[in-house]
Amino acid sequence: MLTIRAGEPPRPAPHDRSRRAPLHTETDARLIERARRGEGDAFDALMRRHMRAAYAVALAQTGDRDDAEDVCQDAFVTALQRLDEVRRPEAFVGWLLQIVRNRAHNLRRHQRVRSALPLDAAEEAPARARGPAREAEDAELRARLLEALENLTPTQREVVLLYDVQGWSHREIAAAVGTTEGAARVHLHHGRRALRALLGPTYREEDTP
Amino acid sequence: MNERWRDLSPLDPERDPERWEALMRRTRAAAAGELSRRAFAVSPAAPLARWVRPALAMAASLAVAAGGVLALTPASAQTAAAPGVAEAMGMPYAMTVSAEEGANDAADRLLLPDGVEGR
Repeated sequence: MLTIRAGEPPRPAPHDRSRRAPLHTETDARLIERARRGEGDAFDALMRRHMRAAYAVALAQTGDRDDAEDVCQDAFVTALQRLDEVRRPEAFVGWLLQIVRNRAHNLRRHQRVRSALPLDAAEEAPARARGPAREAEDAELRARLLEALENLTPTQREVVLLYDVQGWSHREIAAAVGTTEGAARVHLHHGRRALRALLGPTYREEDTP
Repeated sequence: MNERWRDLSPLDPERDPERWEALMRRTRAAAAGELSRRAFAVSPAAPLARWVRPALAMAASLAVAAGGVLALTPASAQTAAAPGVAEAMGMPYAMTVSAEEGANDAADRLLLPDGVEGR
């Protein structure tokens, strides 16, 4: 079981399932204090520590990589602008993820409005440079995974992505999602079961602790 | 489905490090303005900057008020009150008049008292 507490520098998970951000010696509280004074390296450290989690939640909410990245960027800038509102620095990540959800919600609402417009009124999304072969293969896999994830509830998607991609513990997920550890386990269980049903035997369910 | 796929790792954003770092760079660039604003707000120049704008506004108000007062003041009062430069310097009246009229008087005329003709 991971022993990290929210707001502390992350330590490697014993099960080594986690793909965490690089270790940083300062706590979130200290980094927030320095970022409030405009110290760029402190903001950078906060961003590197929490961007993966923000991305997981953004992807769970939007179902699209480009949109998830836009939401992350927007959310971090908004968080910096509102950094003085952080009363409990140890709960920073939960506060940040709520901003991510709000921004994702706004983006989806905006997209619904845009999708109602005639095609020529919508701007074409800029194409990004991608390696041809691997990117094509990855794109196919991602598309299938994201399509399957669409069948889960938003909370289930968040829990599955935070657990399976980000490598968080149930305790961390519970704090970030705003639920109990038990409920987080249930969300993970149901989410994985749905994915297994949708994707078949190729979806390997790791041992759920 | 590709048989090599076994989990959700294709959704891992760091599978494409260049793209991930580009996201970091974009976010950092987008935050640069706010970071600069915050850095300036805690710098020693910030209190000065807070006073500069009100001080300039007050100076401008005073200038406008002074201009208004001057514009409303009668022209004769301004003329009567303004001393000539030569007078202010303590030059004799005769020299002052001569200088203002542009006359090329002889020096002895200027030195003699009024009403006394020189030779």
